[in-house]
Amino acid sequence: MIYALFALLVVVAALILAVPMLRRRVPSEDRSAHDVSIYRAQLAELAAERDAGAIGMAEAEAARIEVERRLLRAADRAVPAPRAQLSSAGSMGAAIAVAGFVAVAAALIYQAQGNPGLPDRPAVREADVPAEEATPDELAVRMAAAMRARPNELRGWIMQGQLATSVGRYDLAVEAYEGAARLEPGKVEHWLSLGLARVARDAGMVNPDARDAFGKALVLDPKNPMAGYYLGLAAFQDHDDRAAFDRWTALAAEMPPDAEYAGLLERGLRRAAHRMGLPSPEFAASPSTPGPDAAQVEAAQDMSEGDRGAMIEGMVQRLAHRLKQNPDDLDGWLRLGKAYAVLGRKGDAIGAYEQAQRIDPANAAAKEALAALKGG
Amino acid sequence: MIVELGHFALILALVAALVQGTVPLIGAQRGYAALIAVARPAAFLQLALVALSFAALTWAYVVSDFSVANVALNSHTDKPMLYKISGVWGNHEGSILLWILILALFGAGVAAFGRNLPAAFRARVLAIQALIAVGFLAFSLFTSNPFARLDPAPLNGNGLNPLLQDPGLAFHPPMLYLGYVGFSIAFSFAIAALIEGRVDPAWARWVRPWTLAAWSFLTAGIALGSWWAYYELGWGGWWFWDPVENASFMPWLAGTALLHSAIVVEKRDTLKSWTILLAILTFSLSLLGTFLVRSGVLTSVHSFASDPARGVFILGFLILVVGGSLALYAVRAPSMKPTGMFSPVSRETSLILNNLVLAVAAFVILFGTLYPLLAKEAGYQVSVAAPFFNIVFPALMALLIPFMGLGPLLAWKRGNLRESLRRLRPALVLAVIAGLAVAFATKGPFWASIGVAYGVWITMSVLTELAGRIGLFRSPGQALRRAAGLPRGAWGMTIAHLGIAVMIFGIAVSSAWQREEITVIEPGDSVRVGGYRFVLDAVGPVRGPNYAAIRGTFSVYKDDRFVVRLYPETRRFADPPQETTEAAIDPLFTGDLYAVIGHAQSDGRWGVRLYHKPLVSWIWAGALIMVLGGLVSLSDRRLRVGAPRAAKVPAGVPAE
Repeated sequence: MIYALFALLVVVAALILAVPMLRRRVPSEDRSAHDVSIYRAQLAELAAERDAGAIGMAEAEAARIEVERRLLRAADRAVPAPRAQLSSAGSMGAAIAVAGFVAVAAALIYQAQGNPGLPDRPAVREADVPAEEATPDELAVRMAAAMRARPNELRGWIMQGQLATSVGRYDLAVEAYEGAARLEPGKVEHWLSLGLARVARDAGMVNPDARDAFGKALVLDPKNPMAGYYLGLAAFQDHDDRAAFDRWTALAAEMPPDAEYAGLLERGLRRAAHRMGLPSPEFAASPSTPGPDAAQVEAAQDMSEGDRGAMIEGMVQRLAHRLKQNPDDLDGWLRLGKAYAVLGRKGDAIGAYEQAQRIDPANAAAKEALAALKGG
Repeated sequence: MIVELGHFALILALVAALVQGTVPLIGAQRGYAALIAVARPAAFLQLALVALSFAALTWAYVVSDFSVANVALNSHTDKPMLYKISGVWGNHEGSILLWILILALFGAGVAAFGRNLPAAFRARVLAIQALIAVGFLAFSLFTSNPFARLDPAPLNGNGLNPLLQDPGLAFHPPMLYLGYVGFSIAFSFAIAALIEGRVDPAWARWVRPWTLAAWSFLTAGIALGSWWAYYELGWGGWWFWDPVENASFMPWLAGTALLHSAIVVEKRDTLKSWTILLAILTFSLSLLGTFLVRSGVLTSVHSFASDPARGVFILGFLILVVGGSLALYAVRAPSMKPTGMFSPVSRETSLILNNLVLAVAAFVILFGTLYPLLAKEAGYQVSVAAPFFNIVFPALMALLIPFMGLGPLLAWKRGNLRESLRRLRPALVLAVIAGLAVAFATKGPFWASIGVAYGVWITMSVLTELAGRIGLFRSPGQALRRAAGLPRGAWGMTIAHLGIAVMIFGIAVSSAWQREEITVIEPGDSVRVGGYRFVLDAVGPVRGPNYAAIRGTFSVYKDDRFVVRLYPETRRFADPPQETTEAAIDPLFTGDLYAVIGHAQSDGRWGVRLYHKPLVSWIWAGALIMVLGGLVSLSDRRLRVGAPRAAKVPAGVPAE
């Protein structure tokens, strides 16, 4: 299809260039006729200028003689010069040469430069690309492959991280942000993105590698609230309630009144306090901004709690779905088991750990977890 | 597929330009009418192919096809549509493509409207035009390909410099390019004439409309650029003598000189060699300007290590075009013998003086622009900044302006200086009175008085000349009829010279009596600036399509009478993160009120910059009037004389 269009363009161009050469009767033309008409016009102008006083009488006369001399010279040349005519074979040859040159040269240059197989990719139409053409998931996989071929492109890794996150391929997102953090280890954002991607990959669990990423972020920016929150969450998930409570309390003390993460932090603190048997901490709304009333707070909390639950639920489902397709992923089953345990779905957790044991009967983590689940 | 089609069309354009640049040239040399005949259709083909290619790139921008590297680097899905489109030429690759498009447009223009040109001459002009296109097409395809692809395509683009997201800038480069590239026609005409070995009054008349068109576009382009700097950069200045501005101003000066010297060729068949040289130099300066503005001859020299191909190509191309044409000039120029005579006191002489000063001015600016850059390359720091230009350039213009008033009153061939000066006595007296009045009444700087005096001098002398032409005092009853009968070219000169006068008033008065206040205030405070009282009513956030802004609301009063409300903004763009100031300007006939809101201070107050600039809008009004003069002159029917058919009806030639 595209070659047909190229061929059409070449044919049109070659015809436009070659056909004038083949025309037999080209009107012969006399250059001096052009000059004569200009000089005649000048004589008329000169008369007008003289009448208007823009040139003196004597000078106008001299100028008239000058122009007339030029006019005569031009008229003398008026004998039409014998026009050379190409022989019919000659013009045919020239036409063929030009047409051939156009086709061959254009083809050669395009062959060196073009990407004939590469379709257009208009971004605005991306939404209605049919699923079988390229699912977002496949897109992320393809881009990951491309990025592995040029691992030193920082921007590429960041884009890949965003893409993979948006399509739920957190494993690829982790890889992408690992690349970004490797290339630019001094940038807090990369470590935060990496930590978040690892948490998302592990269905909400802050595992040691995620902890490591947030720890690096905290080294670069000791007051970073996101790193602080997730390190607190890690402690909380490890049942180190005191450490989590202290970390979160410190964070809450420095929190600006309108911080976006206020709700998250508040909920964490309540849960940590609850587990430690402490009274729920008070959160005084900052005096400068009148806070919402209690009912609104309650409603908002419920809603965001629900949202959050749905989000984790979704992550776990995706993990489970992937494991169904790829059942030999030991780490995956362990992660799923842990996630179910946290969600309180005991039976599912046991099932996941049993799958892990099927793959590696000697796995200590699975054994331990099963014992705890069945015993508790 | 559309993108690849655009790429292929561009390649085909290069190949076709090679044919157009050689076959008609051979035909004209050997006298083969069949080969000469290729030139015109080839010029139309060139335009069609380049337009197709440009449309394909524009389409890629409109639909945000990030598989095109150029789009991915310079656009973003969140960008407003207008700036997606202007993003096409808001970058190096796209701007070169725009250049090529305009080149093809002018080529097709000559093919379409150049019916009064002899076929062989026109074929040579179109061939030279095509050879220039070959250079640019090769530059585009082999070093700056706008159709380079990315696979896989990134999900979104890298945005565009928000400073460039401005309607003024969206239309500024195309206008400037219409001027730059327009001078390519004058260049092609000059080279064709050199090849033919014939420069005569007919040539001067043929080249005139093209020079006029290019000059008008360039004037408008420079004015737009200066206006943009005035309201976008937020410092209230309108000309900074930076290399980019100078790069557009040099071809303007040379082009203005060319416009005037071509008149002498047309009238007296002399000054031919100089005029040809000017045509070559004007286009060479345009080329230099293009590369300085968009690609940066110097940045490309700097980035030799990363992208040597581009810099080498540019330098090679410049050397080939400038060196080649000057070599041809050196061979042919001695054969150009003047055939007309004129006395030292004549309109011709005043035009030569004009050329002298304009050429010196262009050279001074070239020197002042390139010298620091070259010195930097050589390893030492030299700064030739605005103060240098601000002294030298007005001094040169001060030499030029007296002759601007006098010249048009001198007769052709031999003028009567005494008589002309006698007619100009009222203008002279008025100018001196105006200058003295300004000097004593206002205590302004001395140059402001001189500026006002010069403005009055030009206005009055232009009006004196016009009055003389239409016989206003000799036979007032006939004056209107005579005015209508004046050739459009004469009206063009009158209008353009008046435009200069308006501009001089604007420059002198706004520079001398501008008032500015840079201060920190809080809402409710008021500031007095040059007879106006600015009250800051409020400051608050606003959201734009792809930016967040802080907007200040000022009410301006004069003598407790409300004048206008101004809304300056500071805009913060997300991608790429950048801040721009949007000055709020109320352009009044008597002067602009100009407000800029700056940053919040820690104590809740705001930095503001407030200006009153008397007559400043006259600067751009003057430029517009000059453009109008150019267009009026362009509409002169005499410019279309020259086709053999017209010779049979000399009555169709308007009498002057």
